[in-house]
This record gives sequence, structure tokens and C-alpha cells, in this order.
Amino acid sequence: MSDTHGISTDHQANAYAPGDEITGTVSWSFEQPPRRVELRLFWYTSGKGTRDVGIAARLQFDEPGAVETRRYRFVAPNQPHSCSGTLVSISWALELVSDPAVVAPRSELVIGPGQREIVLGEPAAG
Amino acid sequence: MIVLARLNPFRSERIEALPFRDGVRLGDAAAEPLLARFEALGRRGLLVGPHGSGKTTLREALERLLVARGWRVRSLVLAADRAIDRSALVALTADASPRDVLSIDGIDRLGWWSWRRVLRAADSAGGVLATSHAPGRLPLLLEHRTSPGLLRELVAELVDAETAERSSERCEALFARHRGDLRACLRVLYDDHAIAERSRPDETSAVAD
Repeated sequence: MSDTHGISTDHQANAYAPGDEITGTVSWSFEQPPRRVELRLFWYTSGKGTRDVGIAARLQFDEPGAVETRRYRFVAPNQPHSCSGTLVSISWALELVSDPAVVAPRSELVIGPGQREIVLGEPAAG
Repeated sequence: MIVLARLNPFRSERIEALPFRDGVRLGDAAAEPLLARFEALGRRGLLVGPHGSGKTTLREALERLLVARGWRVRSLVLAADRAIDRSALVALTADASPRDVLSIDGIDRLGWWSWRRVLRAADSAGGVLATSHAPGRLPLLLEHRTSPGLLRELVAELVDAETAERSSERCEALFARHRGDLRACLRVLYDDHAIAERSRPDETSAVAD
């Protein structure tokens, strides 16, 4: 059996306004109980220049067993908002980090006013 | 329509993830086998290549692996457009121990006296890793070579076949203009893509990704 991770969110669209609750479950499966399992809510940049990243919140799971599913809850931060222009995008994601490390898929999400990504250079609606 | 940066096929994280080939890699995956060679060279190794060929990225990847293996890495970046910071050089070389690996970006910018100072420190350090535009001073760990063909190959991995074919001549011209600096060429192609997509009449920003 290989070690695996999974993240799921209760909100199907995975889009939130600042202050909204971000909830869901994480699961992991190791051959031996891991020393540490932590869920991180973070933003990162992508685009033409150097990449940047910031961890907004982390949730460490106490006494993790070898195979488990646990619930999580974060509050969507006020900033930075998910946004994109031609040169840079700021995106949000959840990532499950463990020791021993396992390559885990990220769960991408949007955090912004009206639960939408701000698109720079796009005419304002209305 | 605008092309969102996170969808541009030439965005930096995709360029850094390009696989190793012909001595050139702009990302991390080449570091692991190179570390074995670094050990075989007595932990004295030089990454040689033109500007923008991925030397610094590879040096940083090697640094991360060395730290993960318990080494203490002391880094010094000698920027081409700035005078050498003597205090940083002193900090790099002072009291170097067998636990330390000295990592220097751009040793070809060091004068003879400064290089002697590094060599003296290297005698008591656990290793020396460096980048340079020219061989010499340390055993060759890897020589980065670039060519228009390599640029075309990298572009072909980033975009669909039709776009890659269309940009073939552009790659030749960019390679010549930027004197083999692949990173500079790929930055221009990032802008090219944004402009080309912007001028399209349709409403999607779909790209090969």
C-alpha cells in the first residue's frame, strides 16, 4: 500500500468571500502513523516574475493515525484577494503537509469579494 | 480578452519545471544526480554556462538538497552589476568548518586576492559549489550549453504543436538577440503570448497547459 493524501471541501464551487468559513475533510493513508500532518491555507503568485508564497493559516492534526479522515475549518482571510492580470496572478490553495512527506494534490480555491477572482484590466461589470 | 498570468504557458513555474537536457535545465530535477557527481569530485564543483542558462537555479536546488542532508550552506551571490560586498565575502569565509559548504554565484567576478581567500577557507570547509561563465578555478560539475534548437525544444514542451511551429523563426531571432540567454527569450515569449491572445477576437483565454 502506498502513502496517499486527499483534500475535499464542503463548498462545491470552492469559492469564498473574505470571512466565509472554509470547511471540509482531509484524509491520509500511511503504512505507519505519520509523525506530523498539517493542513495549510496559503496564497501564491504565478506569472512572469519570481514566485512568491504566504501561509495564512495552518491546522496541525493531533496524534495522527496511519489511516484517518478528519474535518477542518478555516475562515477565509481578508487579503490578498484572488486576482489575475497579464503579469501576475494571486491564487489560494489548501495543501496537506506530512512527515514523512508525500506528494499531495493541492485543492485550489478562490477568495475574493462576491466569491470571485478579481480580473485586472477587465471592464467593471454593470 | 486578456490572458491571465496563471494561464500563460510561459509562466515562471512551468519554465522552472522543464526537464533537463543538453546540459541545461531551468528547474530542480537535475540536482539529485548532480549531487552524486559533486560528492565524487570531493565536493568541489563548478556550474559553467552563459547568462540565463539555469546555473543559479541549479545551484539553489543543490543547496536545498545539501541542507536536507545536514550540511550548513553559506551562500554568496556576486551580482554582475554591483561591487563586491567585502563584508559578505568575509562572512562567507570566516571560521568555515567541515560542516559548511561554501556556495558562490559568479566566482568569475572575484579577483585573484578574493579567490585566494575563498580557497583558504575551502581548506577547512566541507565543500565549495560555484557558478561561473567560464571554466577553471574548480572542477567542472556541469557545463550548460544553449542553442536555438534547445530553445525550440523547450517551447515545444510549453505550448501546442501548432504554436511551437509558428514560433520557430521567432526562437531563432530571440536566441540571437539575447545571445543564448534562454530565460530572457522565454520572458519575451511570455509577452508575445499575452499580446497574441489579447488581439484574438474570441472570448476565451484557453491555452495549451
